[in-house]
Formats: sequence, structure tokens, C-alpha cells
Amino acid sequence: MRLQSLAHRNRLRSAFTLVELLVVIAIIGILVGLLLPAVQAAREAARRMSCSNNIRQIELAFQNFHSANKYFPSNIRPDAVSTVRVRWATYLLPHIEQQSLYSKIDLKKNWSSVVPNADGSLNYDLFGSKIPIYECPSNPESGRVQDGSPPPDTPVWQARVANGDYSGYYGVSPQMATLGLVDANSARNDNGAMSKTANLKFASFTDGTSNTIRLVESSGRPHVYRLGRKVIDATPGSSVRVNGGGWCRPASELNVLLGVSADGASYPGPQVINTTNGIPLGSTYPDPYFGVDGTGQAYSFHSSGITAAFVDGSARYLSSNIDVRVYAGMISRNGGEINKDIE
Amino acid sequence: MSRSFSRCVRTALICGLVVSGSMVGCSRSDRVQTTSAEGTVLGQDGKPLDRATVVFHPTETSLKFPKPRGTTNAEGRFQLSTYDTNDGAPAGKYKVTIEQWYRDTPDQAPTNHLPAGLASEATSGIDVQLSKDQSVLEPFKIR
Repeated sequence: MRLQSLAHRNRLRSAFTLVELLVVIAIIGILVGLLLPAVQAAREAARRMSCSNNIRQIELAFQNFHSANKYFPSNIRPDAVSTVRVRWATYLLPHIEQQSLYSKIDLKKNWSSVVPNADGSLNYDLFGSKIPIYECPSNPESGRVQDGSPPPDTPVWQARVANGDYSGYYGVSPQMATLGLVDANSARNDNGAMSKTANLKFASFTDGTSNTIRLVESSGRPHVYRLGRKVIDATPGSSVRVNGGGWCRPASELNVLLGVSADGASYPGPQVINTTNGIPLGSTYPDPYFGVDGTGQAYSFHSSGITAAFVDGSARYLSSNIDVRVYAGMISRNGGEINKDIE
Repeated sequence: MSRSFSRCVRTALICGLVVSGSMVGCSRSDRVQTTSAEGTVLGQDGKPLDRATVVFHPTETSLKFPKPRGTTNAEGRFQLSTYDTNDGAPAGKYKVTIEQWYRDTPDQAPTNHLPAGLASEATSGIDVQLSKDQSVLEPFKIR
């Protein structure tokens, strides 16, 4: 009798009971549940630092370019008569150790040119080269070749040029002043740190270089993202997409500061950061309002803000809740605004 | 056993409803209530005006909300948006400004193609009262 019960107990102890297993699994589950968000947050913090490093390296390249040429590169036409427009990102290539790529590019041809250069290479193919420091590692679309030329250049839109996430502003839309969101002295189409017509110098920044934004993030283009969700997938051949995204394209500049509604679906509006990464073009191109310029908006995949580079060479993190008036003051290089503190 | 279990489930459900209900209340509590409103803009020739941006500037209100605005389509129709697209506008008195921004050439910055007086709330001379019911406004005619 006693022997039998002992044997019975031994048989019981030879394995874990179901309850024991469930308790262990539950404890492990809780621990993983606690740990996983922390790990993800640490990884995102690292990506944000890497992004901040990239944008600062680009800003240093701007400074080096100015030392060598006595002006900052802009999105100008190299010769006034042609239809060619070259973006600053191309001019900066020798200053970010991409001299070999730069020397192959023919600056007298457009970025979308498929006419062979002197050595037989095509500009359109050369601009498919991925430049890691032109991209934010938090962007799920980084490292992809998915932007291309709009229909007038080629019969259909093709995904052929490599992604770039950092863009500047040409100015601030006067419509923002009509909405009472910015002051009239800030609201000019051509008061940004990027220019389509002139090569700016240090003297052009009368508001002070440390008060003027050169670059911000606009990630995820040419797809349309709103409030963290991809709402339109821009497949090659479709015309509905954000105009911009390729690092070589002048249309990747953010055009003028023009806010959107709280859902990101209409413009103008009071939301300027992290609501949408751009306004989708309709089927008509050039768009009557945006023309051939970009339709991107300031947007990042970081939590509650974007990384920005200032003309003095600093990189700062701007909150999504920034006052539009203050943000517009930082975009304007010559408006005489005094309230330019981030805090 | 089964009775206490069902009571437990019921309590959890009620707790969940209360928590989610209070969260829904929190997220929208800072918004002023809006009612949908739409209208039409006609040009000098009486034809519908495309791409006209209509901005409603509130007068006599202590409430804070973004200025309701809308852009006309090819039929000259617009719907007002205050927070989200086409969500309308809060009831009250407004002065209305109308601008029409588009580009003459694709590479030049857009310009306003309507008289500058219409772009300023002091001189536009258009006064509108929005009610709490859905409003279809009288057409705005550019003179």
C-alpha cells in the first residue's frame, strides 16, 4: 500500500504539471511583453541618432562647399536658357566622398536623361546609386529605388532613382498668412534656405544662420503616408503619388511651407509636421497649383518630431507640436522674426 | 463556478467599456463642434470658379479653432474643413475671403488671380452666418 503510493508520487514528479508550465509561460510572456517595447524604443533611439548624424554630415558638406565655392548650392539651372535643373544633393557629392559618381554625371543633362554621356553611362542610371547618408534609417522605404520621372519625360512613370529623405523649403506660402497661422513678413514664396534661382551666400541669411532651417525630413515618398499609416501605395505607372523622394530630383524639395488638415488629406491647413509626408498628385501633370515642384511635407518615422539641420551646421530635433508661426520663422531666412526659440 | 466566471467576464467587459469610453472622450474634447457647410464660387462671368480657396474668418467668438477653409472644384463647389477634411465649421458669424492660387507656368511660383481686396477680411465685404444645422450657402459671386 505504502509502496504503491510512493510509486504513484514518483510517477507524478517525473514531469511538469500543466499548471506549472502555464505559470512559467505566463511569466516569460509578461517579461517579454515588458522588454520588447524597451528594446524597440532603444533601436529607434539609435536610428534617430544615426539620422541626426546623417543630416549633420550633409550640413557640413554644405559648409565645405561654401568654403570652396563662396556660395551654397541650390536647385538652379546651370545655364539660364536650358530646361536642365540640378539639385544641391548632386553638387554636394564631391564633399561626401562620392567624387567618382560625380565625375560620371553630366551636369548639362537632366537627371532623367537617357541620352548617353561621354563615357556611355546614363544620368538616369547613375542617379539610381544609393547614398546612405541621404537617407533616414527609420524610413521603412530607405535603401529603395522607387522614385522616377513624371510622364512628360517618359511615357509612364518608372521607379529608377534612389531614395533621399532630406529636403529644404523654398519659402512659406502666403496662404498660411491668410489663414492667420503665420505673419505676413514670414509668408513669401522665395524666403527659404533653398532657392530655384540664386546661389545663396552667408550674407543672404539676415535672420542669422543658427535661426534658419536648411533641411528637414520628408520620409516615405513617393508613397503617401498619413499619421503613421501608408494610405496610397505608389506603384510604378500610377499617377497618384507624392511628387518627390529621389535624392537627385529638384522636386524632392518641399516647395513652400503649406500646412494640411488634421487628417492630412487636404490643404491648406494648420498641421505642418508629421501629419502627412505629402499631397498626392492628381492625374494632371504638371499640377495647376504645384506645377513641376514637389508636393512633399515634413514627415518622419521618429516619435513625435523631425530632425532638422540649421544653416550654422547644427542638427536639432523639432517637436511635432511646434507653433506654426515659430516654424515658419525658422524657415524664413530674411523675415526679421524675433520669436524663433524652439521651447 | 460558471456563475462566478460569467460575473467576472461581465465585470471585465464593463470596465473595458468605461475605460475605452473615457478615452474616446479625451481624444476629441479639445475640438469645437462643427457642422458640414458647402457653397459655390462664381467668377465675374457668372461661371463656376475652379481652385478658389475660401477662408472663413470668425468674428465675435471666444472659441479657438483653426479657420474653416475650402477649395473649389471644377464645378465651383467647396466644402468647409476645420479640423478634418470636409468636417464643416462651427456655427457663428464669419467674414469670408476668397483667393485663387495657381501657376501661370509650371516652373513659377503660384500667384493669386483674384483682386487683392477679396483676400483681406477687412475689405472683402462678405459676411456669412453659419447655423448649427447643415448649411448650403448662397453662391459667392466675384464682382
